[in-house]
Amino acid sequence: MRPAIFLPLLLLTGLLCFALALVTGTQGIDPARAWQALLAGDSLERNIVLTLRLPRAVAAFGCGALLALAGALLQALLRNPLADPFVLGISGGAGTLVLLAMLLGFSGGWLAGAGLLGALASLGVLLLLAWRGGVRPQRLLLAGVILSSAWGAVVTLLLALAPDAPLRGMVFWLMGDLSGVDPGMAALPLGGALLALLLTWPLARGFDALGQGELSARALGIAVDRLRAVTLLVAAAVTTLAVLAAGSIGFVGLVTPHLLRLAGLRRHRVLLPACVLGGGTLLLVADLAARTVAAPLQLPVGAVTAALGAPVFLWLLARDGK
Amino acid sequence: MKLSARQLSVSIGGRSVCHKLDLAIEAGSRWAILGINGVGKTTLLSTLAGLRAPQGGAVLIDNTALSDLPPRVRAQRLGLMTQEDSFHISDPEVTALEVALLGRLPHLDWWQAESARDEDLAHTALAAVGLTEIARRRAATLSGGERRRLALAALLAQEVPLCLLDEPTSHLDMHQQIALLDLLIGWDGRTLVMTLHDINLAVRYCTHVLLLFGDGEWCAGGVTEMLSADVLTRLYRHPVAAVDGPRGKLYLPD
Repeated sequence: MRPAIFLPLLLLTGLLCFALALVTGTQGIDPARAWQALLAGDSLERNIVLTLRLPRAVAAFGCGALLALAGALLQALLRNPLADPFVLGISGGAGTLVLLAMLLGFSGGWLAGAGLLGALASLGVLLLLAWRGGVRPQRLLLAGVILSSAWGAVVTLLLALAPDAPLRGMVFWLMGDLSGVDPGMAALPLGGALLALLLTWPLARGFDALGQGELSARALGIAVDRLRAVTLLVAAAVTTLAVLAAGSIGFVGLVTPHLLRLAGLRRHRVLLPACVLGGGTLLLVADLAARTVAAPLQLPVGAVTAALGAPVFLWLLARDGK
Repeated sequence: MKLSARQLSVSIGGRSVCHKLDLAIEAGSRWAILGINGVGKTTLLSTLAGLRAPQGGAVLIDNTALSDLPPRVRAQRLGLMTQEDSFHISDPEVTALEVALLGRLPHLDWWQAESARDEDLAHTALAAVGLTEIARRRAATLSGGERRRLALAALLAQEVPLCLLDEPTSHLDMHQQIALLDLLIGWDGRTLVMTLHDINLAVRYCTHVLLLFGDGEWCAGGVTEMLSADVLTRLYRHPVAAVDGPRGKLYLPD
């Protein structure tokens, strides 16, 4: 099977899951009525589908796409299959600074700026610690783990200092949660993911070449420094957008590119768009599980992805050591 | 296509590799760079490939400085086979064919998919190095010698008139060394510059040598004029004797 055939398949799967997300929930609405509700129809059902489920599904898909794309970009750039914005503490940095900005009373664009600053600061620290004429995988993972727990400590401190009223919402947001998505902003992550894909897809062959080593890639005419700079910035921006929309959701960025690679999609011209579709679908399904498994209780989606992702991560680590 | 160095000074870690090197590598000539371990052969080769800025002077293709060429244009004219290949480490799933296809990269615009011709060239290159059977195999499962030949296939697929090779014969047994170098000199009109450890391979396959003595001292010229037991003794800091072999002089450690 040619890898490119996966793209329409993934798109189809994504659309099916999307449809499923629209009709599933505590308020059972059958598919035909959900479709009618989208167009016109009963005001309550229309309200549920249009203002609750649709924005949430769009945001889930967009965030999953962002995270998977960030994971694929970082893995290609660092030439390390274990890289991911969550594992490396990049989303932790973004999350912590956004939280700090929130507590200080900032909002809107300031939060985005704080998030980007946190993500870039994390990347900077990682590179500083792990770069020895190339990224050393062990150092990188170690630095990432330490960075993540450092951000975790700051978050704990901030939560301890925070007033009681917004605390529960903050904790949920930190764990990764899509229930608070603003319907007006729901399409933003997906738009961001598509924009990031447009920016990075022309670099796809460069990522393939980078797999052969930096010197070989440069000998093949790849401007590696420029590639690196663009990719780091895009990965940081993409992570920040995902964190702003849904908090820090783990493992989607790590697992999605791996699953797709296992299916034979290794070349980045196919892998990057496949990550957008696959990551989106994965988070959409995870969010569907988060809001239905223990209904009417809603779980933070980050807990669901972590429960699924942590074993996969450990398996990859064990497999990598062989 | 001619590659030349003009007053080229290269140093690494504070030590001089070559000082004011002037070199004219004519189209179709085959050069060996010889010198002891750590003298800077690899550093010089990557400088000649335009991947490392020299401390002084310039490297030119015909009359254009390499540093003035966009990376992709440079890669359409000049290819480098590196000493260590790491495709099997960072992407354990990559296949031999995919590695060979990467050689086509400088000829493709970012929006273009590989054409049937690109695939043909990759297959032809794999066939030329005797790897047809394992085109679909994972590069990580190849032996050290097979990986060298795969790296050569990628260079072959790159279709460049100027080929720089860093120790192309390392990891290869005697038969494979000869087979690979036979293949290399069989490429019509391609200009070759390679670092080698085996003097006798240089004598057998190259038209010219560049000797690096350390501390920036160098000399360059035709193989027969340049090489003698005395010069090699000084070069390798070990007594070298010349004996008569079936194809001419052979140099052996004393």
